[in-house]
Amino acid sequence: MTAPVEHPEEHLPERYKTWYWGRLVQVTAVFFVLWTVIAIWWHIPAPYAWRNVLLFGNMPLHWYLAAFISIWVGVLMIFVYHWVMEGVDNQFRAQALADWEELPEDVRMSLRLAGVTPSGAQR
Amino acid sequence: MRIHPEVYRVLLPSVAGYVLLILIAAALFGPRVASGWMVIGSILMYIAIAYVARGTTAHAMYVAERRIPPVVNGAATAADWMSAASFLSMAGAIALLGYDGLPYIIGWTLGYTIHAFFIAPYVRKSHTWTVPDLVETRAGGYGPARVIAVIMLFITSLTYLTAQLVGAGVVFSRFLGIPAQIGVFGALFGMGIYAASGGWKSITWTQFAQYIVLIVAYLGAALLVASIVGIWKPLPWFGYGELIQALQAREVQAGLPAWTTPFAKPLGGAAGQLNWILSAVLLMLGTIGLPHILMRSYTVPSASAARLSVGWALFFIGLLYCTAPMYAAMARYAFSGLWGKPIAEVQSVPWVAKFLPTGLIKINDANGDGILQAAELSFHGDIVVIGMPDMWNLAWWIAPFVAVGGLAAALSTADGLLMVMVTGITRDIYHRFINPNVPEHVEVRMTRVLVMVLSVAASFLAFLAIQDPRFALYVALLVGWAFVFAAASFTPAVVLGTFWKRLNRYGIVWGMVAGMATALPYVLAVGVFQAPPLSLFGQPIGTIGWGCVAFVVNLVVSVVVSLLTQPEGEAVMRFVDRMRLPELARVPAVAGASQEADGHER
Repeated sequence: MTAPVEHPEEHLPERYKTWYWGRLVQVTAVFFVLWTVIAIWWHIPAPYAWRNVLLFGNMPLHWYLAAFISIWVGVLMIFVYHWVMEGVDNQFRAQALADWEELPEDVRMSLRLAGVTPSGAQR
Repeated sequence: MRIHPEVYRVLLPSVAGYVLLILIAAALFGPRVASGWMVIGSILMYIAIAYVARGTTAHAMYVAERRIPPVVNGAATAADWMSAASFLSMAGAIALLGYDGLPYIIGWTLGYTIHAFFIAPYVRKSHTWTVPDLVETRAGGYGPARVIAVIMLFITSLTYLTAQLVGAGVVFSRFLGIPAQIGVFGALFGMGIYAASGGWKSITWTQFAQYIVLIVAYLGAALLVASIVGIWKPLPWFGYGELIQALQAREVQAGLPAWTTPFAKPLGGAAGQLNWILSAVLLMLGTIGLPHILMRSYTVPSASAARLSVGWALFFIGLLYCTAPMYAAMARYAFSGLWGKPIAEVQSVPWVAKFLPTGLIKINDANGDGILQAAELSFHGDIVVIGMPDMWNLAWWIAPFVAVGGLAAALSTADGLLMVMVTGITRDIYHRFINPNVPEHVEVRMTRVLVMVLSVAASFLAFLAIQDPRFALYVALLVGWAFVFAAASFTPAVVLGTFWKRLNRYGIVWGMVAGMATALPYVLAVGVFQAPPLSLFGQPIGTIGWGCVAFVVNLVVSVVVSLLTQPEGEAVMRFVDRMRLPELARVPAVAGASQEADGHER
C-alpha cells in the first residue's frame, strides 16, 4: 500500500537526483577552484614577487592578501555560492512539480499532505 | 527585516540592565568597583539571558529546536569559534611572528568558505542530532563508528575547553584581584549554570550576546588607538601601511629583520613557504572538522539557512580577524618606540611599569650599557590586546571592557565545547547503547547534571594547568593540535560521506584510525620530544602542517578500504540522497513525527 513519506525527495525518480547532483557538483567545483586561489595559489608568488608592491601608498601586497583581502573575498564567495545554489534548488523543485503526473504516488501523496500542488503552492 | 522576538524579550532588557548598573556603579563607587562589576555583571547578564531563553525538551537541549535564524546562528558560531586564543593571543602571535603568523588569519577564516560548500548544508539535511550520530548513520548503523567518533570528539574538545577556562581564570585574576586558580572556578560557575539551564537553545542566545560584547570590545579599543596613531585614512584597515613602514624602518635601523619579511621565523617547529601554506590549509581543514563548529549546522531551520549562516559567521569572524594584524602593528610600533632609550626611563613609562611585574614584558640589559637595545626587550603575546588601552593611555573603563570581551570569547567557546561533550555522553553513548528507551525528561535532567560535572572536571584541569607551567604548556600545544586531530578524523569522513556514495563503514572507521595514527606520533615526537621535523620536497614540515599529510592518509585509507569491502545497502544510499537533495516540501506528521521535530522518532 502506498503511504506518504517524510522526505519525498529521496523517493523521486533517479533522473531528478542525477540532474541536481550534477549541477551541484559543477557549481561547487567552480567555487572550490576559486577558493584555492585565495587560500593557496596567490600566496605562492606573493612573498617574492609582490612584496614590494604597495597598496594605498604603503601597505605591502603580500601582507595584505593574507591579512585582509583573502578573508573578505572568502565571505563574498559564500554569499554568491548561496545565491547560485538557491537558484539550483528552486529549479530542482520546479522541475519535479512540473512533472507532477510522472511522480511516484507516495511522493505526490506526501506533497499533497504538505500543501504542495502541481502549481507549486505550499500552504 | 523581521527582528526575532527573543531579541526584545531577552537581549535588550539584559544588555540595558547591565549598562545601567555599570553607570550607577561608576557614579556612586568609582572606577574600581565599576570595573569589577563590568566583569561579574557580564556573567550575570549571560545567566539571565540563558535562563529566559531556556528550553525544557531534548529538542531544545540538543539542537535549539532547529529554529535559530541564520544571522543569529552566524554570530553564535562566531562566538563559539573565537576563543580566548583568538581574542587574546592571535594578535600577539602576529606581533611576534610577523608574516609567519598570518597562516592563523587565513587558516582560521577560509575554512568557513569550504564549510559552506562541502559540509554545513549536508550536515543539516542529514536530520541527525550529533556528529557521532551522523557518522554512525552514514556507516549504516555501525556502532563502533559512533564510539570512535565520540572518542575523537573528546580528544579534540577537552583540552580545548581546559585552555578556555585557563584564559577565563587569568581575566578574573587580573580584574578582580583574585588568584587565577580561584578564577577558573568563577568561570565554571557562570558557564555551568547557563549551559545547564537550557542546552544549545540557551547557549545560542547567550553566544549571540557574547559576540556583540566581544566584537564591540575588540573593535572599540582598536579604533580608538587607531585615531591616536592617526591611521584613519580613510579607515584604519586601509591606513596602517604607514605604520608598518615606520616600524620596519626602526627595525632595520636596529639590525632586525623587517616585520613583514616572509619565512624568517618558525611556525609549528619549522620555517619555509611549504610549511606556511600547509599550516594554513591544515587550520582550514581542522576548522571544518571541529565538532562544536559542525554542531552549529543543526540549529538552523534548513540546509539553505545553514549555508547562509556560515556566510554570516565568517562575516562576523572576519571583523575581528582583519583587525588583529592592525592590533599587532600598533603594539609592535609602541614597543619599538622604547628602543634606544635609557632603561631607567623605559621602566618608568606607566604601562611598562604596570606590566613588568606580571612578566608580560621583560627587560634584560645584556650589554650593561644602561640603554635599551631592541634585543633586550621581549614581550608576551597576550599583552598586545590586554595591554593596548594602557599602552595608548585610553580612558579607565576601556581596559576592563576589553577584559570583559576576552571573558566573553573564552566562555562562549567553553559552552560549545562543554555541550558537544555532554551530548557525546548522553545522546551518543547512554541513549544509543545503554538505555535507548530513556524518558525524555530523564535525559534532559541527565544532561543538566553532566554539564555541571564536566564543568567541574574541566575547571580542575584548568586549575592544574595554572598550578604547573609545564602542564599549561602542553595544554596550549594541544589546543593547536586539536585542529590536526579534527582534520585527521572528522573532516574526511564528513566530506567523503556526502560526496562519495561508495564510502562504507569500514572505510570510515579505518580512515579515522589511520589519520590519527599518522598525526599523533608525529605531533608527540616533534612537538613534545623535540625530534627534528621531517622534510617534504626539501622543506621542513611542522606539527600543524603535518596534519595535511594525516588528512590525505585518512582519505586514501577510506577509499582503499571501502573499495576492498562490501558497499553499504539501500538504507545508506537513501540517507546520502537525503543529505544531498534540497527539501521538496515540509511534510508534517508522517509516522507520528513532524519535520520540525525530525529525529525524535529515531
